[in-house]
Amino acid sequence: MVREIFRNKQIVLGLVVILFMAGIATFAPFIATYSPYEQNLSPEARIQPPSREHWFGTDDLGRDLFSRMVYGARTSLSVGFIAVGIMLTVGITLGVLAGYYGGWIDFIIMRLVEVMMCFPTLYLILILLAFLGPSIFYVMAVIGLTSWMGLTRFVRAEFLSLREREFVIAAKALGATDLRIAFRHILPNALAPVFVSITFSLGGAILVENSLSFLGLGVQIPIPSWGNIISTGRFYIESAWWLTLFPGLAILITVLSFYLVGDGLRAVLDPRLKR
Amino acid sequence: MSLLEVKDLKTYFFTDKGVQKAVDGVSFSIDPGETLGLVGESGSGKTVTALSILNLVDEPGKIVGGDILLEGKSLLPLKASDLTQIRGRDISVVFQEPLTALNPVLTIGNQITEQIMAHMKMSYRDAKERALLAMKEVRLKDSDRLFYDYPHRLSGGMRQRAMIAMALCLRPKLLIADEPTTALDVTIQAEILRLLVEIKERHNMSVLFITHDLGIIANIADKVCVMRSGKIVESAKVEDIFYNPKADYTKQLLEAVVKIPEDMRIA
Amino acid sequence: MLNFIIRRTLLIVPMLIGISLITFVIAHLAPGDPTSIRYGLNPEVSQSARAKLKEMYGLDKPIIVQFGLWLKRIAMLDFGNSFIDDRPVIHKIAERLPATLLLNIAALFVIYILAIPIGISSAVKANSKYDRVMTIILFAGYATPSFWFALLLIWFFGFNLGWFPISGMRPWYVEYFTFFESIKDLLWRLVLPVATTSLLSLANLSRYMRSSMLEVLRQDYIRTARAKGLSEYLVVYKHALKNALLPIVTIASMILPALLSGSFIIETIFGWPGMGRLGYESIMNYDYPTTMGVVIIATFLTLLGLLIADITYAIVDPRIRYE
Repeated sequence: MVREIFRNKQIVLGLVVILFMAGIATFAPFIATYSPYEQNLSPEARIQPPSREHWFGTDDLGRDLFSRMVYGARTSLSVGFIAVGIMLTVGITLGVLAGYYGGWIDFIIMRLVEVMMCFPTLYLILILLAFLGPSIFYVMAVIGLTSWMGLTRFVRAEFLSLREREFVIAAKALGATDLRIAFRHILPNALAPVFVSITFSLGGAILVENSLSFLGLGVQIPIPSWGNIISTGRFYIESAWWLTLFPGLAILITVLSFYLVGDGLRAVLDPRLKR
Repeated sequence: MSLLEVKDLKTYFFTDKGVQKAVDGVSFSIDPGETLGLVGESGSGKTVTALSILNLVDEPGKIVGGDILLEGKSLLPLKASDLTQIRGRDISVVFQEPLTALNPVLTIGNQITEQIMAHMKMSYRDAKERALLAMKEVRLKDSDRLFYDYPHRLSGGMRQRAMIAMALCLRPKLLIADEPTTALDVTIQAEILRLLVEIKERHNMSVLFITHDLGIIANIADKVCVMRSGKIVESAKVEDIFYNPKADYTKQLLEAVVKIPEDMRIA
Repeated sequence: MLNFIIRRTLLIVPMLIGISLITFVIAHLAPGDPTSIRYGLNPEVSQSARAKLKEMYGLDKPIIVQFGLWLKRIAMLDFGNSFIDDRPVIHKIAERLPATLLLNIAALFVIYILAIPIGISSAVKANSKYDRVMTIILFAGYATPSFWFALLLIWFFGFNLGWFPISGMRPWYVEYFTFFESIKDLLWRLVLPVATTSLLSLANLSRYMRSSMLEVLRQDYIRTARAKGLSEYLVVYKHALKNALLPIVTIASMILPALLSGSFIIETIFGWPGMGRLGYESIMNYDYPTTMGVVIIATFLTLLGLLIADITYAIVDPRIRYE
């Protein structure tokens, strides 16, 4: 299995990019060539095109775009990981409850899933953020709390199919408790596809965070986020293309890497897609 | 000259876990009007052998050696378009599970007529006429209505009759029947078998009959090949197989048959 | 069949109650405390908003009565009046709905037209070089932030090439156009927003079509079709496609919420006078009644889409049609 994963070019390519971005995010202070916050309002420093000093140019307040983007990687990845952490907690817990206990618990959880899936997620997030106030922690929480439905459905289905398998019945016969069975015996078997879901959700969460930041309800200025850099760049799009192009590419490449890993994993893990 | 000759056929499956020799050096021949029974347990390579004849083996399976001759002409080097001409016209197949073998979203009539029209220059009206005739021949009652019906609305036995009508509508020289009765109820099994024998006699067809059940073979086959793990372990006339089996494996299979109550066998 | 439709339609009732419950909870999250830091900056706005909300939602009544009132309002599509111009929210939405529907239906059309052939060709040539390249292109589209893509389109086709108008749906001068000219103008203005809207879900649907097709190509009846001596063309486009398209019908309902989500960004960027832009503006202006009205109508649209998809499925699949 592990060998197959590392033989898949799509996965390896995606992982390399993700590790690269994670490295940038971790060592941001050493990589950034300038402070991401230092302004220089003199006309010759503002909105400068890419040059030897400023690799990606400067923004409307004379800040170095490259340095802001390096810190933006930090923002995006941390929001992504924490949001997905919340999604996992909620999604798996509800999925386990529904799949393991069935009955009315299952009924209520599944109706909740269906109802939640009817909402246009992004707008729901916008409303919640507008009501709660824009803060990076709310961004993480709200993304996590609006994206767990697919995972719950999946975990539940997995539980329904595994519940009747021999090893679970055997564990039950030996007197294992419900919770123990759920977490020790069933969950590990459902783990592989959950990883697929995690990678896709990470990409999706990063995309949503940047969309929110672009709309002004996500990560707030002056904290740099690729999305809020673009929302400034928007006003200078005719003259200063770099303010829009580079951060957008960063989002695209990062999110694409997560999706490629996810898709590759799915191909490796799904026996029916195997040749 | 025999109608079909399979010489040293080798069909291997190339999977991640290595090469699986599903068919490994199988040879047999079928004369015109003759019925050959191919017997073996599931996984012995019977079905892959049958599929290899029409080059229908799915990836990662591949025919890696041997030859298949129809009336003396090799089928293996044929272009895809020439092979399509032979499939369904010279050689037809009846599969095991009629529910999954029929397309659920096309009517029975559509599925029979399309086969006729694929092989003969014929108007839809004539093809339909011919399809209805074939449906009558397999004794599908109420064929005018069934013509416009979908497979899931038919019973298992009726579906298999429809499959047989499809396979026989062009009077093929060879019929490959791959466990045609296994998925059916016991009583219907007997009816379908009788129908196959009757049609075979009437049109003097050759049949390659694949089954895991020696009891069925006794009633319809002229010759028998016993397969095990991709190889033929014994090949003989049907009487010799039953009264004078050579291979130990054949003897084991026979012992299993004897336990079947007499009344469940086909008269 | 009729039974199925009736049963399916009745299933909407619990969904509606669920939606009402969730929106009720959300509506109560609306900042009502005038001393909260955020609204402390402008106590007047929050004071009057508070008073209006109190009156509208009956905030002084017990919670269960409040929910009853909420349900009643939703059932009558009465979302109150906008805080901005005091017009009934439902009228404001009704004005904007056609533009949103036009944009999303056009996008849905484009998505299907492109995704079905892409999905088929990828499945037929599964794991080939073409399939691999296509996978990466599609995922790149899926990973592209739509707001960024919209800006690039505006920058390139709007400013640099000047091919397409960059904003708006019906300019003031449209009344001087003949009917034909005004349709042409509208189509012209649709190009960039539709391209942006389609991009995201194109990947989704193509991948779905691909796996649906792959699944079907593995089926026994495909082998039967080949054994019958049908041409590869008939096998793929008659036997496989008909089956593979069935589940694709239902997917429309899955991408509908995503499309509507996209509308909030895309309509804002392209100045498209639809419901999405209305929703975004209402959020930015603390216009709570409009905000809630838009989200509820959006979920209704999704529910309606689900229902239409399920009924279509029942009509096209003979296995359900004859039950």
